[in-house]
Amino acid sequence: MVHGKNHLLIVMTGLALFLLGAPALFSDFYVDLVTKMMIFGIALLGYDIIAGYTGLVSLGHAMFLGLGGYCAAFTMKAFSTNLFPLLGVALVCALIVGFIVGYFSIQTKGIFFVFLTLAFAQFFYLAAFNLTTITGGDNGITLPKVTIGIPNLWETVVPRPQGFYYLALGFLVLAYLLCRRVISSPFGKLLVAIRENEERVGFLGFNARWLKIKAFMISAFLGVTAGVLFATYQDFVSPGMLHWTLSGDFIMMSILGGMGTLVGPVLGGAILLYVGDLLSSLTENWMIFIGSFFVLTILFAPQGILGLLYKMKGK
Amino acid sequence: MLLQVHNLNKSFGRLAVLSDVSFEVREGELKSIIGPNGAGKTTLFNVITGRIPLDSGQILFRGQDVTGAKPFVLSRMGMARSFQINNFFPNLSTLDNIQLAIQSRLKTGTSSWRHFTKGDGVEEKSLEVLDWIGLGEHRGELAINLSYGDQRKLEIGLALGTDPSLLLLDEPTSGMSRYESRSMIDLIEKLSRRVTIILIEHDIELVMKVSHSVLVVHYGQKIAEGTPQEIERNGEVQRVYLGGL
Repeated sequence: MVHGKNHLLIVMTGLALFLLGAPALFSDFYVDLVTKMMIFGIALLGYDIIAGYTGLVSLGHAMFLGLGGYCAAFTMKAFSTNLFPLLGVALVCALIVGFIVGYFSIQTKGIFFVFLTLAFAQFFYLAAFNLTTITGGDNGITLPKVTIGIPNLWETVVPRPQGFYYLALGFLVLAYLLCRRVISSPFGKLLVAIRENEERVGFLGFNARWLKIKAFMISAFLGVTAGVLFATYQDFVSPGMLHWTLSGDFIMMSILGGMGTLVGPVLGGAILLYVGDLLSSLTENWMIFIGSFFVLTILFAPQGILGLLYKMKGK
Repeated sequence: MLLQVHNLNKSFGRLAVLSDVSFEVREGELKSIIGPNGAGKTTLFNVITGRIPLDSGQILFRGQDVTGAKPFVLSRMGMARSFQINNFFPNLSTLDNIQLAIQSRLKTGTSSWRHFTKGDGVEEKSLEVLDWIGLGEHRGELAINLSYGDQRKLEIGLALGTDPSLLLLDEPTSGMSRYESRSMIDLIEKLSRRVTIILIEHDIELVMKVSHSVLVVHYGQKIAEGTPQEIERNGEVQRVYLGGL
């Protein structure tokens, strides 16, 4: 037992050192890619709370990424380019939208939940696409450079790619610690119980509906955080960030890595982004390979890559 | 009176499953509900515990009108039930199953930030319940891997873990071997010294042995109620059970 813990500690320390030192060792191209992986990782952690732990597979999670992106854009236009007000505004929006969408969606199950979350996400997508005077429509909105620090005192533009890399890393670590705390809490145990048998959770005296809304809101919270970071990193937000195919990517990344384990989906996201990038530089038809890879995962490693690793370690 | 049920009616389509059922349960009592298959016994439990809505009637629990209340509200008031068909958390350990029931009574039971501390006694209380139902040795096993008889006990343990004042047991011995039933009977007798129980049961012998009072339903109607002795002598009950089956 102690041995196993030491082992994990070594792996974690190694990973931490690697991630901290990576920008000095690798080219800007990889620093940029890993930054994107980490930003996606934040959203995937949130998605795992709702899809992996609670068992509510949503096909609308891109709505929170996009919500974060547009919140950042509007806030920048209105009063500040500082990252923290951007996050503040986005988080308030996440709680409101998360509550409303959660409230209605979680009353349904299975395929109805899938389609209701999709419908909500499409609503936001179409709004962003059609309200051209506000959102710029398909052309999107170009953002000024994001800053950090204290306004009027010390404020600086986040340097790229290294500065943003560390920013994303910091947020990913915070998001991971937050999720781990939530998952191991009494509330987290109830989420798994809801996935297992929602009815009995009610008969034990818990308001399962409220618990699910809360899970949805936490998931939204992390989604917009990733959205703000992504938009400010790209200096750009467009309806693409709200598109259902991105929601589909979340599902694919989660399944690939292993739903219901916090590390799995983050790993799945990183792999898919890397492989996607690699293959798309080789062939136009790279989606065929990703698709085949996905089919193989479902057939032979339904618990995802992390599940497969655990299984191999167990033997 | 702990529970008062007045003129319950429930139909599925044109089929009346419960017609004007009324009865009362006093504190400390063990009341059994018997009746042939399809008599409406489980439906009666389902409407009392808020699993399905009733068409008309009134339910008072601890003097409060709880007609139409949701299961989680009733559970918080002290009403717990077990199910005829196992309804636990199959891929969690036996201990984790019970812990969920225990945590339902804690202030921090739904906290997403504060963890349980030693002072909460979650594990001690869970182990106590596990010992009560005789599953202490199986605490680490997944519920799905327990023997069927032990699963039936876990089913009761989940209800018991919420520290109820009224416990509704829906055919705890269903599907059990004769041998397993016997240990279940012992458990129910032990429980009845601690908590008020309403028991649905097919095994007439068991019912007559453990109950303080018996309610007989047939085609959704109450046809008799009384002590086990009274029920044994009741002509209509004999007709339903001996002539009807």
